[in-house]
Amino acid sequence: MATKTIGSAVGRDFATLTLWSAYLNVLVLAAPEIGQMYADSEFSQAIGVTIGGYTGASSTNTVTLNCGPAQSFRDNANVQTNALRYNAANGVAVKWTTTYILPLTVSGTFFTADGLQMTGTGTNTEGGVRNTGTDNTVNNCILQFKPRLGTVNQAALFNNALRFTAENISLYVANAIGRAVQDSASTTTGLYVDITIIGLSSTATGFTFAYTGSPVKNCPVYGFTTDYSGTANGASTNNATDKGAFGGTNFGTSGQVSITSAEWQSLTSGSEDFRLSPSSTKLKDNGATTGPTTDIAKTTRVAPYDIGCWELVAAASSGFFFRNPSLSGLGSGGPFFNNPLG
Amino acid sequence: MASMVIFAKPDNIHPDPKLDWTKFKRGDVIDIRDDDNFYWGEAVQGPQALNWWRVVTVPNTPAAALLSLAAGDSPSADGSAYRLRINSINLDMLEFGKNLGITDRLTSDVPTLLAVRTVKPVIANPNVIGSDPRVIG
Repeated sequence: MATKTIGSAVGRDFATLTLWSAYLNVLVLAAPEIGQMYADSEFSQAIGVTIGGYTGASSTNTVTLNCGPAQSFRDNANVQTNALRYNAANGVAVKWTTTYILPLTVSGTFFTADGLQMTGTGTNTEGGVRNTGTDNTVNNCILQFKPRLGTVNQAALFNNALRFTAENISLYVANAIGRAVQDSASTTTGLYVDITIIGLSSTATGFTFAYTGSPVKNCPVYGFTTDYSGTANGASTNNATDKGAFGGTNFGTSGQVSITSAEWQSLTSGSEDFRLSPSSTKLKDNGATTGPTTDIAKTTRVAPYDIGCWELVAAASSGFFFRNPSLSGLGSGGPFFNNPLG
Repeated sequence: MASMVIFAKPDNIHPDPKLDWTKFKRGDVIDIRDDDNFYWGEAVQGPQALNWWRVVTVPNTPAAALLSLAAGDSPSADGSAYRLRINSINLDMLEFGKNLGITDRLTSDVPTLLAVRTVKPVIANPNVIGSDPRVIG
């Protein structure tokens, strides 16, 4: 296994993501290859990045783009209280600054992106993350893009290849015209699970399949003129929509309708926080018990799972536990107090 | 005030000719930054640097003025071939007469770069048959 470090600090192997992608482009893989990003500073990209060109990839010789130890927003000490949105102060973050570029294209195979924050600040981009290679995965990421309304491949998350998996993603379309998820694979055996899809009153569609698509599970869609379109796999279940009824076909099984902004901490533009609100009534505990066993913040999910990328955790206790003296066999050590009511 | 990395490896060839378009080629501009002395990392400028790159400094020029040299085609909806980089810099001409080590930087300017630039031909869409690109086979 080879690991290359990516960051602006002296001593890293590559200073920019584009440069690592060019290194990767040359490789003939004989072992797993990892690009490990460091939050030395925000990664600012004026040029689109293409992951591909390498050969020899397989289920054992994989390619991973992730974060160094304690570098991801998921590892932040305040991950439970930080607002869930793109914020370079919270961990590794990649920002594409140019209008009309395609931020990240993945044409290679057996590739996984994990634990990253990615955004496009140009007024309109040609999408966000675009996958055209087989057996690829995007996990545990915060995506925030402004895709322009063009042809169908211009979505914040686009796929047209086999076995594409997307899990535990906070996906925010931050303009009024962009699509969120578009899958145009004619034959697909992938999976979309635990993706929170929020639009800024976008006139486009939240989740679209051009052909009969992969299963979609535990994915809420909010803030788009059209929530879902096309036909999802029949195994789709426990999604949610802000409409009175689900669009498309097969998305609505065991789902929640008419969800409101009150399900999340804040959907106010500029201070978005896509963590689930403790007062959630429709997303909390209404998900299918399937998919990753931890959420985007590494919180262990407790059945029944919450819908979306965030699992609410119980309010913290006072830190004290009362011991009922009537119960025998319990040790007397530890921070226990006698229960005066016991 | 710009620094760019140009792909210099001459033999980055895909074993499948139909997929060779996915490989960066010698002369492709990989990245550009607004800093003459930008440090591109150990793999480019360190003691164990790979001999795959050439760093070119372009003084008194903002990176934004050079971004077009790193532009690529928009990927097609059907996943067919496209140009990762539309332009190619003739590194042989830029390096001619200079005895450069792996990590030595070149200094150039916009007129020179434009003079050694060529525009790559458009890659034919394999799904299109005939001279009329609107005819889908």
